[in-house]
Amino acid sequence: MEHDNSPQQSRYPIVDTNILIYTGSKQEALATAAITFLDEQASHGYRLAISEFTTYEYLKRLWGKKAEKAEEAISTYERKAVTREVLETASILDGLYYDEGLTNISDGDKIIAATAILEDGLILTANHKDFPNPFFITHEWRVLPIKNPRYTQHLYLALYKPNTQLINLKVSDKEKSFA
Amino acid sequence: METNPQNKHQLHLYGRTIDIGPGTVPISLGSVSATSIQDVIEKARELSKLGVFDIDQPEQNIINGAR
Repeated sequence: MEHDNSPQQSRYPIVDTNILIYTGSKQEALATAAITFLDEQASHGYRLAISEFTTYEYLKRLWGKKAEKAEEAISTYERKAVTREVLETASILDGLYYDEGLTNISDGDKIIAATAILEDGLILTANHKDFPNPFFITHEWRVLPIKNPRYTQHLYLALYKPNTQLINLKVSDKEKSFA
Repeated sequence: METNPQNKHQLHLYGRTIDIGPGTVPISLGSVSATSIQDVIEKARELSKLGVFDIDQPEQNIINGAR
């Protein structure tokens, strides 16, 4: 496990939608692994939160009892609003990604990333390509076993820290080049 | 306003600089004020039993699969 010794109190990890889905997975071993990681982060003093955009990703295509229960589950999280500043930050990320040839990252992931940047927080995810280096740096990672009756697989989960200094430098360079 | 690109507690947004940190993004209307991990676990277990998310484990997130 890696640590950067940054103060952890009051820091928000923004939990990516895939983690929420894993915690409620029908596959008990997968759900247990994801819950274990969330529980560890909470016990470290982190304040777990989600972007309100996750509400859309989480509830879409659910109906009836399943939708009702999923809505109850997502309501247990502190939900960060999608504000104008979040969207502006996401649009800046889109431009920086584009310059690096990173064109396969969804708008939702940029909104989640922007929320973490503005909170000076972290992103907790299993979809590593959605929060690319050097814009995001691994803060902590875990490999958790998913034990099935016949075999064991491993789930790679990580906390990513936004590289705000780099983002600012790149934005500054872009502004100078277009001044 | 003079800005320093090296300042990691500020962000440059379209010609202005804002301070960043915990609480910069407000919580949504109707949101709980803090996540309760006990509530998260309890509700996740209910979803798991109900089979709400009957997904395959995405291969890209699983490493060292030993069959």
